[in-house]
Amino acid sequence: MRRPPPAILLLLAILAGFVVMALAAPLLAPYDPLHQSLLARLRPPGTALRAGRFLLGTDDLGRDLLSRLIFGARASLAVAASSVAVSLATGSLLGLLSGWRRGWSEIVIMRLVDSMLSIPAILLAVLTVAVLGPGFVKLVLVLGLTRWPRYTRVAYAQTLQVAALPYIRAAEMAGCRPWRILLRHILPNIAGPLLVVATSEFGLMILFEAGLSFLGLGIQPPTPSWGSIMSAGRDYVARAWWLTVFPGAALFLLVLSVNLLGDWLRDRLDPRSATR
Amino acid sequence: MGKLWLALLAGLAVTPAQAAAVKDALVVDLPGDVATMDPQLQWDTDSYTVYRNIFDNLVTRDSTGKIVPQVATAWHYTDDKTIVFDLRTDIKFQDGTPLTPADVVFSVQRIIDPAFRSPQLSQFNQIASADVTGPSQVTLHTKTPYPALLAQLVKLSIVPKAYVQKLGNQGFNQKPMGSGPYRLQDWQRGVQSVLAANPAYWRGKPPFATVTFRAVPDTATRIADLRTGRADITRGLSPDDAIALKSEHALKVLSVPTERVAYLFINAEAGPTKDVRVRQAIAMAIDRDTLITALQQGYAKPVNIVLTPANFGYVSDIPGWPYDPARARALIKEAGAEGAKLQFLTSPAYDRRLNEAVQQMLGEVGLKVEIVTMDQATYLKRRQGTPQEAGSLSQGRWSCACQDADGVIFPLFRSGSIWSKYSNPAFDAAVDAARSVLDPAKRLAEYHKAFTILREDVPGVGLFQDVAIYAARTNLQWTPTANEAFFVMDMHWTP
Repeated sequence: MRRPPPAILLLLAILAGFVVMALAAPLLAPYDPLHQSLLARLRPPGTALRAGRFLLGTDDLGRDLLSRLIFGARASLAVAASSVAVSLATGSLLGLLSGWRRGWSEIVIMRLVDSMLSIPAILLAVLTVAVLGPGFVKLVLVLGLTRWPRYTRVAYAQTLQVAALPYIRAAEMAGCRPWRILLRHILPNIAGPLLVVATSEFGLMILFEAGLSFLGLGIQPPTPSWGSIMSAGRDYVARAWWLTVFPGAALFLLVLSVNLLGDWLRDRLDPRSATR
Repeated sequence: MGKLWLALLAGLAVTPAQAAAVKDALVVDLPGDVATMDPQLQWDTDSYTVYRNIFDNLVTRDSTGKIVPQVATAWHYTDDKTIVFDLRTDIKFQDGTPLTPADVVFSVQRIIDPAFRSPQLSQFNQIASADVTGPSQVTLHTKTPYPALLAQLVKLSIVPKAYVQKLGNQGFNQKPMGSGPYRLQDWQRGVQSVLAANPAYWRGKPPFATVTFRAVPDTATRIADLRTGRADITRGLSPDDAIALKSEHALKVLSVPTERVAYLFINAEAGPTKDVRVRQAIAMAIDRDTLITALQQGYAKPVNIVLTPANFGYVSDIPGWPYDPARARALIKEAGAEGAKLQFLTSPAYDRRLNEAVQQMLGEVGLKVEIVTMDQATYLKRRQGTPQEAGSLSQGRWSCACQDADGVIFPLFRSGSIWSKYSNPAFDAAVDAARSVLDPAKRLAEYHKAFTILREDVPGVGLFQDVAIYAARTNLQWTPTANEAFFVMDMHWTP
């Protein structure tokens, strides 16, 4: 295998940086991200007070923005990773099933996919949160269960292709049970395209989480998330630019690196698109 | 050719300059659009701000807050439940027909008709009937002696009987018509409503030829509109906005302490806060001075009870709970509620910073507050639902636009009210008595009793008296009032 180009290594390093930031947040953050000091509200980046130095300034309740950003990475990455896992698992399973079994299950599942894809995902998410109430687990379920159809489509199409290949017939004749064929013989062969979908979805999930938190329906205060920090900062754009610029830049960088990595992965795993 | 261009350029240059010199128009940026133009239906602050300029009221408040004549010239009680109003005879509706006692009676009957389903019904349902008793006289009968009647009538708009009956309720909502200083010229839903002056207005010529109320939900955009001259005045600003605007030369910040009280609701009928010791501890855990100085930046006034001094019934000699986190912690330990989880229900309509500040203050005395944000409709449904649904805490900003305690603690804490998650027969008796006796001294005594009970039971904590913040061009003259009324008639440009 060829070594990945330097640009990709850089992206990987950025992504790894964010992951380390999220995992080691308590070690890296200079202050408690939840500690308010109402008398030190909206201080600009670099302010030094008796309590310490606020590298990125403070927010509208006097909390250290840098610490909140570092802890906010947790919310963004955790929600994105878990909801991608949920939708990847659900979507692939349904896709495999409808591509293998055909018949009624194919018709029911694929029409369900069509109807799910015709509903705006963010609207569906807002409605579900309105009914179920906000919370981390609910947020993951909502995002995961609204985004599975994309995986189903890909898994279905790939399963149809792979299932027709001679080695599957051979496995069947050798007496393999259907579940074994699906999971041992088909799934590994369609995993590449699914992984590519997952990377592009990962970026979207980060944005959805930020969007829902921006609307006040995602991660609940005081737990910081980039979306909610920006939402709070919107009221202070003219007075305290740092509240929107820093989380916005972090979000941009993270989503950009995930998407570029996804592109590169697609080119590597799919020889047809590489020659295009 | 060259001359033509010059002429065109000159024309372009002159038009805006002329407009600036005349300044016959006023542009108002509101946070939201008018929900209805029918003054007897919706009464959210944005609808209220617009339609009250189209109508007159029986009585109104002067700049000191005193109730003074408007359509009625005088009134007197013939007995505790009967009040007679003498009316002006020189008032005409905007279509030229005179305003008669029949119109006043119709306006009252319309709003108290349960079938009409006015959201303002609870403010007026103490009125039993209204009758024409003379060529310029109307008599109102109340179910019981009802001391807040005049305060409520301040916001009862007089609508034209024949016109409303001709157009029907829906038609009237689209084409409202009253006897006020302005008439509706154009209403683009969700965008703006334009009012035009009524030149024949009986109190004098209105100050602007047109007034445009635009719906601009985003505060930053409203402020930008003021800065660039696209708007002349806006309402609904935060203390932070006010501070930011202080350095602007062309703009000024207008603020007034209102009858709106910011309070923390505490559920006395379910969850950990069912224990009165927990509720008292919460009252002692909140540092209200810091909320006022740091969060509100001084744009708020301390209160000792869940009522403001702008309301009748305010009693100043009941001490508020002191800020004492040590005692609060001890009380919580005594109640065995350390680490108890409290749900703080809220919606994006409420000040998020206040929620989070309260969350931290309660966290410091050992209570785990979980903020649950919902959309406004779900929030109201739960807050007004059973005690089990209503959560342990929520923030409120209450105003009855009647400047009377009856419109505040009666709906908030009287058992049986949808907002109340508290029940104490002694309190109920006091507020019931206070709303059915006319003598102000006796009423005050009852409210004193009621607030003494509330202080011990703590079904809510008064946080501060809210200050309404407006920003306007420097040359616009206006004094905002405690009831947040927005009468364009009281504004004018200074040269």
